[in-house]
Amino acid sequence: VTPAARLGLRLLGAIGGGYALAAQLAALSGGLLHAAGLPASEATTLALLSAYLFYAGLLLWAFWTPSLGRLWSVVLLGTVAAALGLRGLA
Amino acid sequence: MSTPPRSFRQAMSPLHTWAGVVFAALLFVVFWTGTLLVFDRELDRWLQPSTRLPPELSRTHAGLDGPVLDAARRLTAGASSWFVRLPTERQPTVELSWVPRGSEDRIRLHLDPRTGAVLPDTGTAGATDFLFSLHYSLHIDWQRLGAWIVGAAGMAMVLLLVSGLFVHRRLIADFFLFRPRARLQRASLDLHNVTGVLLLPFHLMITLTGLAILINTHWPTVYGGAYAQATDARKAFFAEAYATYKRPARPPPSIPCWPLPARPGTTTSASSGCGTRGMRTRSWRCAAVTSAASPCGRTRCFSTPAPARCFTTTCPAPSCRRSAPSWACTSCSSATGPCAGCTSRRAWPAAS
Repeated sequence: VTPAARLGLRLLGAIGGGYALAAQLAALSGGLLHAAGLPASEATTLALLSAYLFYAGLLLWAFWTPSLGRLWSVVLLGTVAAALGLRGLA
Repeated sequence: MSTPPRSFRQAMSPLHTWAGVVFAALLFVVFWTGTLLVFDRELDRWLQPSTRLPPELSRTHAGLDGPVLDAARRLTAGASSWFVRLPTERQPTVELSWVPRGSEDRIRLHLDPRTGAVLPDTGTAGATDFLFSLHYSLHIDWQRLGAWIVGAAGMAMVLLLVSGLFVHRRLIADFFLFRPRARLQRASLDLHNVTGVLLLPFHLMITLTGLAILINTHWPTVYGGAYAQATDARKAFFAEAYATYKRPARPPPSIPCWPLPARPGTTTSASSGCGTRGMRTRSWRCAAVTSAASPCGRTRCFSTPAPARCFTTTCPAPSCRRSAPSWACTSCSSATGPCAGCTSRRAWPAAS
């Protein structure tokens, strides 16, 4: 794999994959907060606000982690796991 | 495919560099327009000379009485609702806006609070129209693309702030280091460090709150978390969070009426829910609503004294209010009839 391809994969995994995982984590946290008793609108607002923090943390980690394989597996498996968790919650 | 191990700081250095190179110009536009918009009203007065009325009008002509209300009714005839901003010191005009029947575009114009005359259109969008759109959407409305670009720049700013903490890791030492007589590169790096450290909390707060304004653009899938059962989760969230959120009704207050000096032939009563629509702009404003249901159901709002309250002029007949025993009619069966037309009454608050 060429360095340019590695860079492209890292940017895509960090920006696109990080966004997908952050959005799924935020949706899951919204569902969990609602299940824990917070009104749905307030749980959603809190989840929306924390989505930026999830995304920021994921981006920093994604640009730091040396292994592209780990980056992509965390992003993909994490997104699927969070989506499954949300489905189980519903 | 092995990568040499690297520290977090080493990884943050290219991120800090390239996020800065790519987004610096855009971030400058956003932050600069945001700074200018602190003075949005003043810029509007500067750009729209016809609206430069004496600021005292905000005190002497604070209400909707007289020619302003007549002018507003005449101008907005046929519209289902209209909004008005009463004069303030920073905007001493009556700002009237409405959507004409059969139209999509909101019309907005300024009235002279003394006469109700329409002030000449200055032909400029001014700060509040031009700079605000530039600030949060770059005037790119297609699919809200501009808001997404600004959001990407905001996320880049968050990354720049955090990565800068690690790249310029000797924060305390660097803070006291400023070598203006050194080479330009060294001196500007020192300046970068000093201003970066000094303004870090402000930058972080400004960036995060700026992003938070656009939460409903950037995360369209998150609504499904807490609204998994709803067919349209986003719509359900908006209905609950912004429009029709209901709390258990409070018991009515013991004195339902704000003791305004009653004019002959009118009584006033406070009602809740004043200005729930169109009030979500930057400061508390009053909505003036004309009601067709009652011939005298004119609702007026007052923002002073705080908290803002809403008053409905309900009862027109002078004889509907009695001083002894003190009671006032709260609803009438006719607009002009005597007290016989009164269908419900309440005690008039005694002066204490």
